[in-house]
Amino acid sequence: MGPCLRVGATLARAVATYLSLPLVQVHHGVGHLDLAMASTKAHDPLAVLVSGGHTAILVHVGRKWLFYGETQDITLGNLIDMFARSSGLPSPGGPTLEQEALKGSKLLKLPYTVKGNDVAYSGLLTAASRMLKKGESLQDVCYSIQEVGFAMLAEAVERSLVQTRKTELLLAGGVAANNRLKEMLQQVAAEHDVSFHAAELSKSGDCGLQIAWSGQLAFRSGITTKPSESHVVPRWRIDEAEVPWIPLK
Amino acid sequence: MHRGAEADLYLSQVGPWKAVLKKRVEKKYRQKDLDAWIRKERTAKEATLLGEARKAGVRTPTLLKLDPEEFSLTMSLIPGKLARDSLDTMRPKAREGLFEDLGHQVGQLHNRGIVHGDLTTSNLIISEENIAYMIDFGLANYSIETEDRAVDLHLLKRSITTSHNFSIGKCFKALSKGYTASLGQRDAATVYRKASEIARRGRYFAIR
Repeated sequence: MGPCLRVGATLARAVATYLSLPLVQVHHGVGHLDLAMASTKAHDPLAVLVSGGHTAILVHVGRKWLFYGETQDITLGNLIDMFARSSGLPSPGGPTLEQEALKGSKLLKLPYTVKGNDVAYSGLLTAASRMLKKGESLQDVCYSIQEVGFAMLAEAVERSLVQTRKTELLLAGGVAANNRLKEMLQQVAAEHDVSFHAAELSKSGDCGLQIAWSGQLAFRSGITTKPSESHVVPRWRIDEAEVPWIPLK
Repeated sequence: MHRGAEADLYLSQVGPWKAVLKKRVEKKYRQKDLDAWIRKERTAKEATLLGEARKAGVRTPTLLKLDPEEFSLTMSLIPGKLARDSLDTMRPKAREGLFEDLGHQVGQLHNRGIVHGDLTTSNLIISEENIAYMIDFGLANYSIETEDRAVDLHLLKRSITTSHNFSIGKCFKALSKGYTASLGQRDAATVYRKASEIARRGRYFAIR
């Protein structure tokens, strides 16, 4: 992750210096949430951020997004990408895995790990790879990964909803494109009389707009950085990023 | 009687005794077979751990009936109030005594290799004799991991600091005294260190 971030940062520094423009730091995950909030009209949601870098249940408190629940090991995006790659599915892994899952029907016994509001996916990845090697069909394994992996998250989200008493549920990040995940979280929201918001397909995955949108919000809040002092942070935890532009409740 | 996130509770009767029937409800978002499997397994596990905790010397309801096919179990009713609703009105001395005893019970539980997993003031009943009973072993597990033990202490302390306003310093001291006495100085200190690390991570905070 480091090298590609450094290329982008070098370019941004060059443009900022050459044109004397302010440089604004953006947290990738915050960008997902900002764009999802703007495009769905959610105001004070329990946010579910699912992507290659995050599997998190978040609530905005004060000037930050705080974790209410998260993965204890790999993310949901990791799980899907790593399984897709190891089983030879064509890239991008997410959509192809979803397509294969539609053709599956047999539920395989994969580890279901929910600890309070947290989930864990590494055991699921290992077990799924083993099932495939043992001769289970790819379609059934993909189907089972989705059913088990997503249900775990849905349960953690449900617990968090009951505890926080939030009235909005927001789904953001690349994995939000998955229709089965969307359907499950929609059912959770409906059961608890909570409004459901998901970023539309063109705005849920990684895109320039997410960085641009979050960047202008940060700039308007007076957040800029000097090119000479700027650096990339590949493991910047989302609860360490200042997000003062979301109104206090 | 009560509707939780995972199960519904009903007032019941077994012979001459008042009882509580806990039934895990169907989750529509889960695939049918998966849903049945999870509810059955958790019901059976809760029954087992309820008994194990009891053997460890922890006060819990008594298991009266188990019906995994119906995803339900029946336990003796503990007359009393939830700690969440009764701690604030207790006399300070009685409260400290209660916390020392509770710390002792949590230590006994951990000693036997069990963690509660959801230890909050909503999962403690204070009986009419001012004794704490642990309920809801739905997320309990066999574990001797420091992290899992620390989560128990952390959740308990967090649920107290966020929703009660009595002087908690003395109660936490009493809790720690009881816990240390039953788990031993060294292990207890390790768990306490981990608990404050978890608190710093900013997880499991509560919003009110």
